[in-house]
Amino acid sequence: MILETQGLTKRFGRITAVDSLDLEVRQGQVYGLLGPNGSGKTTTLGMILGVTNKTGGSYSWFEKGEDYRLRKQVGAILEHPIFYPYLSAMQNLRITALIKEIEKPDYAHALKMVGLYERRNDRFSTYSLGMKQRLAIASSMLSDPGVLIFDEPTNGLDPQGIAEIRNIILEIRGMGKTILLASHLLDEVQKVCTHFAVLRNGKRIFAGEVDAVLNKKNRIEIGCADLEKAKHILSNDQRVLHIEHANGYLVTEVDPLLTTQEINRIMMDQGVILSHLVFKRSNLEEQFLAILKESDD
Amino acid sequence: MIRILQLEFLKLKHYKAFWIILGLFVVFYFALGFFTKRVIDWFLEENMEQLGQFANMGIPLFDFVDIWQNLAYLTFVFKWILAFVVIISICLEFSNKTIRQNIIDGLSRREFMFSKLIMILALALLAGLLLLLLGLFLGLLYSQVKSPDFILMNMEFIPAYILEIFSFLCLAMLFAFIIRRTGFAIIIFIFYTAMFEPIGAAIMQYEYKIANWYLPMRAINNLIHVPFQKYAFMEVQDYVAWVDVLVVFGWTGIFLLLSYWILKTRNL
Repeated sequence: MILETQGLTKRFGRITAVDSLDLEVRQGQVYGLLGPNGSGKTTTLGMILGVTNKTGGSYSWFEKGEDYRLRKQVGAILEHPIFYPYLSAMQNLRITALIKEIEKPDYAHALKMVGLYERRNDRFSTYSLGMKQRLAIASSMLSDPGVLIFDEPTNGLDPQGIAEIRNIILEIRGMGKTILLASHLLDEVQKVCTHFAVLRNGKRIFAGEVDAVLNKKNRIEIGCADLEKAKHILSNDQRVLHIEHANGYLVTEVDPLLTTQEINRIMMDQGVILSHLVFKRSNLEEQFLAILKESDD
Repeated sequence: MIRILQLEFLKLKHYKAFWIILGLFVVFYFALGFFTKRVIDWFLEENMEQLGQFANMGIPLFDFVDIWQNLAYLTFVFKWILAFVVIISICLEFSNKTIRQNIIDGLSRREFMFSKLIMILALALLAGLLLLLLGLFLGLLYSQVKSPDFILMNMEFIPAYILEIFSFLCLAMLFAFIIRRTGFAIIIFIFYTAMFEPIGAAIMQYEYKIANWYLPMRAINNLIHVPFQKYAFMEVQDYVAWVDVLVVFGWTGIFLLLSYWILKTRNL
């Protein structure tokens, strides 16, 4: 277990920013913390990183508790990249290395990984936002930590910057590191994460595997001359979870075991000729909206 | 310990404003020493008639034995410059949010405060060293007596001076931790230390006859009493009183505990 929180709570006056949050992040997971702005993602990360004082509950790094020294084995960026503006990239990384007590810091490797080696002696204040974000990643990777925390890493970047950061994160994932990624972008979580939790108003309203959620229900669109007959046939199949009419087609939600070939075969057997058969992989956005909707009910 | 010292040095090494202000401090410090002698000589010459006997004797401002207390008192104004250095360097960590990243990276809040305390100690020691150098220099230049016994006598004013500066800078650190914004912190610090408390103390003393030696600025300033009335044959405290030292130690402890408490309980 890399990180565990139990009943973690933060109140700012009357507002409860994080409400008895339970999280479990295990070795090797890429864990997405998903939620709209103001849902308590950054406050949660602030608490587990020691900058926001918790109101209640507990957290534990590496099953060893809350000791500040444990943070030296975590690479983390909260919100914006933060460095001494009047120092160069190298000088800033030296400060990080000193705080984290890194024995032999490999500055060149970290800087090359994010493509900043050539600019290493320029002052931080001369960097573009994308470069600042990349330097933050280099800094968090400097101690070769087992776990990394990124908070909205692509916020405010242009499409090219976003692509660069995503590729770096995927590269880090490829190294087998555990990543905790907070984001309000579903697309980002879907592309990068293996697991995710959804936060809303400081509460965890969902937690699970990205693949399991994505594959829980597939959507298949069916078109034919006699929609009612097709509907009748499908409604007798237990693997079909839901059927509705839309745009002159039948839109079905089916168990992943039921493939398009299978549907085609069943229909043929019953004498129905399909004119339209489209597999639609369900995306996280719909699941997310569904989860939000469920939590409203 | 060495790691924390290195950390603070890395942060300050390339911070120009810090070195410029510190450089100004050193320049002003020595300039004051030299110009004071000049100004007094000039003043005595101009007023030869009225002052008669004084002018002939000269004021033995820079004679050994007296010089340590005189210089320590004269240069007390400069402790505000050092206080600005402390406030700027701490508030900058808040405005750049670098304190936040320091903590995230694995520094404890206590270590952070300790790193600033080391800077404060270094500044206080620097001030003490300057006092020693300036005293030796001016004393050897102008003093009537130059034997080692006299040079060493009254030298306890140097450690007292270091304590005075150290305590004053701890108060500056407390203001920086509470207020967090450079401009505000400096203004409110000046307002409190140079106006609010002195005026309040004067009102307490002269209007209401309430003793006020225990107020923080009074206590800090009391370590080294005003020496100059003695040249008009008035009685002055020309030694460092233990009770004054204890009061200042007490306040320094309070400043440090409050600073730590504020740093500990606030969100960064």
